[in-house]
Amino acid sequence: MTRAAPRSLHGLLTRFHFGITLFAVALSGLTILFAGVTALRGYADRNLELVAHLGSYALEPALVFNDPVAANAALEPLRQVPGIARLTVLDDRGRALADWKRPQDDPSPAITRLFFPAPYDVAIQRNGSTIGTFRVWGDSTALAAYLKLGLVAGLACLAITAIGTIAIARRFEYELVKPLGEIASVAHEVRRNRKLDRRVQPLAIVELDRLGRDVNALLDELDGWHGQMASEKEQLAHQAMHDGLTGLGNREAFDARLDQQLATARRAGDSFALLFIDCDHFKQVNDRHGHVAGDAVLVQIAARLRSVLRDGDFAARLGGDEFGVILSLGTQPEHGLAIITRILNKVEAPVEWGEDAVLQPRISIGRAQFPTDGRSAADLLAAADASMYAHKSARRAQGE
Amino acid sequence: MLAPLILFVIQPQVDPAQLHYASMVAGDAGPADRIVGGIISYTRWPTGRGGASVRLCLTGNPRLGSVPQPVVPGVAQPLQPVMRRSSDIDSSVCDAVYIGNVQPGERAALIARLRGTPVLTLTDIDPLCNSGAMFCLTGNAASPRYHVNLDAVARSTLRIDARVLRMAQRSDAP
Repeated sequence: MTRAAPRSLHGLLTRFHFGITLFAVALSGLTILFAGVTALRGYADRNLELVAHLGSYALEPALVFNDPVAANAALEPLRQVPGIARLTVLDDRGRALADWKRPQDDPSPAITRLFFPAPYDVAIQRNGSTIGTFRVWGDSTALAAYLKLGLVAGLACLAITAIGTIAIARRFEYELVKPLGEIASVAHEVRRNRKLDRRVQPLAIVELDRLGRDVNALLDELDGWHGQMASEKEQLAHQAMHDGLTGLGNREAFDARLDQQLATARRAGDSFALLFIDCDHFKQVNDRHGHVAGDAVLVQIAARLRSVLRDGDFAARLGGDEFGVILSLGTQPEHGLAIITRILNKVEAPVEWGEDAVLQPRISIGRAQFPTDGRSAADLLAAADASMYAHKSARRAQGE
Repeated sequence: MLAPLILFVIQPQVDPAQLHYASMVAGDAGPADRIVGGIISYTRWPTGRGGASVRLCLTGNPRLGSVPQPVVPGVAQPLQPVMRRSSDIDSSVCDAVYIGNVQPGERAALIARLRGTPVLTLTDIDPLCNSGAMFCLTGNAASPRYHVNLDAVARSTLRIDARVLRMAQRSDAP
């Protein structure tokens, strides 16, 4: 099954109007033509009768005197009457006293045959005795002229109809198609360019205005959903890159940041440092005071770390009780060592827990310097890890 | 209600006349008889005469052949003229006078006497139609024509149908 190509509203309205007007014009035109032909036919018959009676009065003495010259003279004024094809004067024996035919040809013999099939006869009497017959043939001159005029007028009406239809359709296009186009253009704009702030202006036609307001309401809802979705997406993105407990970056964020910083440092020939931080005895805190206490310690460590770090440094919780810090570009080894000292001073301050308990976080920090300790992420991570364990062992040997 | 009654009354009057007129024309009614009959037919007498009751007098010999027997439409028989001497003719005995070949002086006297009386005067010996007769027949017996003397018609008390006057040959025409 094939579907017809869609039509424009303008075209549809034009065809519709043209059809209706054509029908009306044709109907009224035919009615007028029919009425006109009927009336004219009546007039033509009256005309023939009138000519016949007029002629019979003038012809009466000519027939009495049997005078063809007088008969022809009596016919003379009747020859000027339009719609007469032939005039014949017959005496009482049926012989023609006078006979005149219009020299011009009948414009349309078919109409003549249809409307004037037989001549009109009038008997001429004198003192009660019939002395002859006057015979009048009609022709189609007047009717043909009327029909011709009717046809021309009909065609003119059709032309006016066409012009009028185009004008009306234009008017309709202005009134109807334009508001629809306005709605369509807003919908298109919204879909194409995501311009959710576009709205349909108030329209002059009630139904279309309602449609426009519904579209506006839909756009309002869409706009709301869109905003909601954007914030949810943002939230999800944040969740994907951050650690839920401490609010620092997570492992993925750490890896991404490291790759990015490595690339930048390689390009610029710059240096930076990587720190690994691991809580000592964290398992014991958990065991003694519960996981809530452990979590509190982790949160506290994170907050303290953040307070020590400079703008451009990046801290992340890599999992469990491990943290990683990427120090900003340009960080030299001495800077890194200074920061490690500051971190140790800050983080290892006591954490109050409950009414009387005091928790003492202990951390080990490993450091890897780019590019001296490694040029790839894996090398740097391994170096930092090794450094951290060295630090842990050293402190263990020192402290206990 | 009225129409059939009128038809009934008129019908029997029309039929025989029509038949006779046709038969007369078919017969040897001469062209001159038709002209004279036509003129009589289109003349109205103040006395109420007309048709079959018209008394036609003849004086002198007709130039156009035999004794005129005018055929009047609607009258069954042709009118039969009565021969009279011109001195005997007046409106008491004649309604129409056919003046044949008489002396010009006699003719002038007769016409002068009949002037102002309801008598139709016709002659066939006055081609210029200036003798004072109302109608003058000219031409020959086979194709006669007639002239009218409008002055004489105007002076008479008769009324002639204008169509007959118009059909007449003009006096100044040949």
